[in-house]
Amino acid sequence: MKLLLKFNLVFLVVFALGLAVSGTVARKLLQNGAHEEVLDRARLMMENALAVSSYTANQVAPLLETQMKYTFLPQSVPAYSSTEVLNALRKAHPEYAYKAAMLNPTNPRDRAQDWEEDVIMQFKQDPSRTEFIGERDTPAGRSLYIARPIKLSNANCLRCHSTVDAAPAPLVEKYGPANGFGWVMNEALGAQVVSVPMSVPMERADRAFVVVMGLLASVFLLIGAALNLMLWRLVIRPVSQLSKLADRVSLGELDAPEFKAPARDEIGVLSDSFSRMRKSLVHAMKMLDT
Amino acid sequence: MWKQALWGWAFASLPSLGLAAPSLATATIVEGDFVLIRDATLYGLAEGARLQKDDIVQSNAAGRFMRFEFADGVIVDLAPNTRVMLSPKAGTDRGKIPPRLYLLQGTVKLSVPANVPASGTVLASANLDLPAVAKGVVVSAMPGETAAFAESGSIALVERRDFKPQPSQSLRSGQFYARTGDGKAQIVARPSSPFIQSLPKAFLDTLPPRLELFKGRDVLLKPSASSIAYADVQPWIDAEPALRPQFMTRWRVLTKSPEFRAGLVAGMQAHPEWDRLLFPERYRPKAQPGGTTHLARQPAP
Repeated sequence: MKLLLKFNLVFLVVFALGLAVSGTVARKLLQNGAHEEVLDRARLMMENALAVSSYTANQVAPLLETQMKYTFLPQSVPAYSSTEVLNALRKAHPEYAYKAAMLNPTNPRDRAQDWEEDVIMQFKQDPSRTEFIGERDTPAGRSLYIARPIKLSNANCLRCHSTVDAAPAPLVEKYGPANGFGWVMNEALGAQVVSVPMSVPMERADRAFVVVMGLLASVFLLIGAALNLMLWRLVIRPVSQLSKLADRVSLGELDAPEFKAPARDEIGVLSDSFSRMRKSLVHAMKMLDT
Repeated sequence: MWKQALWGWAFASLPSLGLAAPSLATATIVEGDFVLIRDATLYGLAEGARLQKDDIVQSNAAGRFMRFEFADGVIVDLAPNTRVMLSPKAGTDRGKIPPRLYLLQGTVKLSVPANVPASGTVLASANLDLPAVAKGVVVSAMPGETAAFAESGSIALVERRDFKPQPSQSLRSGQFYARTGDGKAQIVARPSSPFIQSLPKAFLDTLPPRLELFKGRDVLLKPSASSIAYADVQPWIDAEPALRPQFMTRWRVLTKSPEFRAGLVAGMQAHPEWDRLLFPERYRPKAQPGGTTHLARQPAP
């Protein structure tokens, strides 16, 4: 088996092993990174929703106070405005879904689904918990979600959510007296939930993985080609020439041309040694002839 | 003689200088066409105009929204097609102090600050008076329809039937009073949708007071190019009996206008008291043979 073949076989094995190991590690890291990135973006959306809610409660609602005496305007409700803003944001990021899921909402569209109720119950059971991250199966595939508790911290909110009698008449007129009352301060009443299909971080990680592995393979191939070229030029070619010269000398062709090593490396030293050996051999042969 | 002439000139100049009477309120928002009738002169209203006792402010459909503010903080918003009069003589059954505002027609919104002491009727109209307003109320007086909405705080309300006051009732914050014609009034928990739809958008917003912006800025009122037409003031001339006598002296001078006089004559049945003014000869005692006298003619019924 030729040296170059042996070298390439070993190189390919190392290349394959290296690519497999680094691919596995890179894939894991990239998936984790994409997962964290998706969660961070979800958190940012949630912070955005909170900021919009706070802005609505503190600045918009007071301006609509008079109008609210005539007609109930959902635009004055923090949860409504944050949902609307997030829905607008979803036009640019359709993969993200936001919901202010409530156990006892005023607006029926905010009613929590079964799995959301479970999340809210976890916040109820552990009031110190501030975030919940989970995965669940959906008809469209596996989904990743992040949830934060919704608690009443502003006593003004109780004006609309304590009892039917205390609530503004336009609100009762619009949503009826059955829902959205009996809320308690500082208790988990619902959860902000941002969901994103698991396929999103996976696809994102896969795209990065293909790029990383492509680059890694390219680098390996480039290194392999460079090593092959250098091995052939620096080792295999001079050794082959030296071997052919040795064959000619051994067959009695003592006037074969000298081998000139291109560099003063190990091959150059071998060439010098071979030249000396050839001179000694020529000298010994001449002594035998005389 | 020349002294009398000088005094006469000085008194005649007072209204144009805005010194004739102390101002009660200031027009702080004027959107669209609103006019002011002071004495027998028509003025175009502008922001910053000072309003006095007995001033009439009115608009047609071209008047979109107007606000005037009293010095004590009471704010009055006017909708299109509204006619109001400031502090008029409106009959003894409304108390010694004239009502702050008389609503003849249209829709007004009153905002009363908490620190304003109760003094007399806040708003009077043909079908209802408001002796007390805690904070905010919207009153509408349309032909055949009267409505009041206690927007914030409670109000005391006195119905008037055949121009006579009925027992006082109160409306809690958010309650709506509605009366059609002479029928029984309804008090319900929420204002009706047509009522809400009829209000100008500005009524539904909380607009901050603007009186401070006009302090020290006197706006000279410019008399309108046209004089008062009969149609401009006909609803006032035919208003409730307690209000009408003052207009005979106020607009006596306008009867020199043939158009005005013709209007009065054509509608004499609605304001028979003007007959004596227009046709005094009919009421002069006539000498009869035998030394007795009697009126030449009875006024139109």
